[in-house]
Amino acid sequence: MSFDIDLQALRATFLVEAIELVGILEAGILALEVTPEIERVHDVFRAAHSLKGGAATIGLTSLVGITHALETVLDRWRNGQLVVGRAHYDALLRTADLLRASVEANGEVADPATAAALDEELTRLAQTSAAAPAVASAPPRVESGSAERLRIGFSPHPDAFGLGGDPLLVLRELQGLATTLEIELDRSAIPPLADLDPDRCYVRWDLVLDPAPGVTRQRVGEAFEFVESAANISIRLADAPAADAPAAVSVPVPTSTPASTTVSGGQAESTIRVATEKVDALVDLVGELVISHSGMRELVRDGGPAMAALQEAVLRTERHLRELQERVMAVRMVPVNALYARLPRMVREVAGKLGKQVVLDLDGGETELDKVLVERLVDPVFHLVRNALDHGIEPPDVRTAAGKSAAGTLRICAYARAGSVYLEVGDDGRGLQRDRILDVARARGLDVPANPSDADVFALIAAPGFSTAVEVTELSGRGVGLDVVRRNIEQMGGELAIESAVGQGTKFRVRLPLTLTIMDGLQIKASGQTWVLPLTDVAFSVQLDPKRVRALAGMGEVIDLVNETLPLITLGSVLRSDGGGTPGTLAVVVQAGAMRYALRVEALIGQAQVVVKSLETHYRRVPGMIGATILGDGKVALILDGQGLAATAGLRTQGGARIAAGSLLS
Amino acid sequence: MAKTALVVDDSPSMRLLVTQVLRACGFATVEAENGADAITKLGPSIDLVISDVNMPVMDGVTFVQKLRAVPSMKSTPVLMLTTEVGQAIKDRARAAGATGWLTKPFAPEQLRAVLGRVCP
Repeated sequence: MSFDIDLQALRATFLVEAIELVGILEAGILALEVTPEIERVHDVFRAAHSLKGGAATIGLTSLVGITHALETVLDRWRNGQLVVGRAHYDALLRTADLLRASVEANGEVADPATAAALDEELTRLAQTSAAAPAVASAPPRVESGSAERLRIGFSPHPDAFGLGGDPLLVLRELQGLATTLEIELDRSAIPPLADLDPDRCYVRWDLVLDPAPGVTRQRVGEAFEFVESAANISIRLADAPAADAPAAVSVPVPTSTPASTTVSGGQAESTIRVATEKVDALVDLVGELVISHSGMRELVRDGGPAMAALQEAVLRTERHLRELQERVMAVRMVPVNALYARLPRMVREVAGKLGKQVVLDLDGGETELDKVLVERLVDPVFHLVRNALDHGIEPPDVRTAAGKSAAGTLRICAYARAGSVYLEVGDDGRGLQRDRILDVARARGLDVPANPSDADVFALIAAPGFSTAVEVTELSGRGVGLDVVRRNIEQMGGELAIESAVGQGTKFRVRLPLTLTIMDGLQIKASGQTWVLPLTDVAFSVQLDPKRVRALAGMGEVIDLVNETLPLITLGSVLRSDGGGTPGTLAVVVQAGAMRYALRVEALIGQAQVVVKSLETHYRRVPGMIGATILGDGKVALILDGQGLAATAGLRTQGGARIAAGSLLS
Repeated sequence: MAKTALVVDDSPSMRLLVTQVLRACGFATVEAENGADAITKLGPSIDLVISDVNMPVMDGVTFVQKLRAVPSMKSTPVLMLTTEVGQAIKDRARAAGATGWLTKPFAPEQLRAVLGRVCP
């Protein structure tokens, strides 16, 4: 009989499952290195065990060897037969790597040489005990000559019907093994009906069996495998003297159940997997819908009383549209855990190379962020972490001498506040040294203001061309510095803030918008064109009183407001793209990060939600711009970046630090 | 009417394999991810239970013990799938109330043969 088994589907299912198992394996091993708990060893063992079983079942024979070696180590560990040290953790983690690579290579061992070496290493680490064979062999089918006629006594215990047992099934199987089978039923023990308990077995059989070709006596014995504990069975050659001893004696063993543990991988979640492109297409489509809707709203806005009903309908649609948009966006939100998952391993390795002791504290992993942002955040966050390990946290002896614990703490936490998501990377290391930063900055020819605030000084370390590393290390060298991190974050519409105290540590705080794609904006008219300013950058707007506008030497125009004097910039001249128009008579006060200034505008058109289209995708990155959007009337408008615009204009922060300006036309 | 089998295993690929064999043998199938999940799916309509031993939340041995306490499941055939070999696991499965067992990995043919031992 052949089976209609879909091996292809089976393998695909296993590979998906295997990736999860390898994840559990790796996370478990890393966690065990920090706190060795026996429950966790059980979890890890179970993952290895399932991997092995699955690989063997699916026929991925090349994986069976290594997973078996892995399982053996874990088995001895969970039984307390192993003193586990760094070498074990290393080998186990490398095995997880190999397995992951192999699973990604469609289940074939990615690197047979490494696999063989690891197999050997694991076997050695398991102290070469007598382990179970890699693959439990199938019930042996010895094809040697058939046995002679067998005489079988089969006396089921009275409770043989319990536990789903059915002696008749044994007889049926025996029938399939015999050329002839004589069955003699002994029903002498059946009691009168009144005393009969239908759940008890009162009969026994005597059988004479001529085995079919190739059927051994052992094979006949196997037919009794499931009933042998609930029956007296004797199998002997038909001409041999009767021996009434049971064929198998089983000793009841007290049942012990392993402590039941939970593992996140086993939790049932009602989810479906959807290709990212499908979600992206939905997000785009909803974006277009928002645009066409705002076009419609503009058309009916000026329609007067005749249009009142239509206006109301349009407004109602807008509410639904907003909700639809939020829900579609939510589909693409993923927890930052996706990012956290890779950190323990990396911290372990980097700290190991640097000879530092580090406790990694991850918090707020459930905070959700647009998937696109999480992916783009990987590099900057890894860089910040490497930076903290390399430059922040001191070697154990230095820490001890300073009266700190030998192990430093690296704390990474994420949280959402007011439409933004924050991610902090903080260490309790040596902290930033203000004077040293200033010295280096001057030596590198960076623009250093007089009387800089701490924030100004710390911002310098993220300026292009700055590096305080005494030596270029293997980890943080390569000439890529915090300036790249800062730029990456700013490209995502976020910002990087740095706090530090000497001897106490440094904290990098990344602020990101919840999502990249949609933002609330203020439409303005300036220099003859329509622009969009992110609403988050807008403080308030004022009527420009010519008497309050002055030209200041070296700073251009400034405006005197009630409590402050702010630089006043004109878009046309900053961007060198004057599209005509009249000089604006209004000003919008922009507050973006540490920058505060007034922007001259001709008119405030109104507030609207805009869909951000990347300029990089269609053109290239433009300083001072976040992207572009399509307005309700179908025209394209550029979205200004409050902070970037200040940099382009060469403005200084309140402390006076000049922000490096990129030329728009470079 | 087709007989119904409850397949309990935390591994989706193992469930897929077992259910495919069962369907080829004419069974309808119900699946559960662990013992606790499976308990909720027990009932008179289940004619056969095939359960893994090593599972999160509730392992197979505990599950079978609880299953046998359900009146309608007292004599339902229960097959345990295990990767352990040797007498100890057999005794453990039997003591818990399993009707039979099969050591993983197994070929579809082997599962079919064992089904014949526990299910009419």
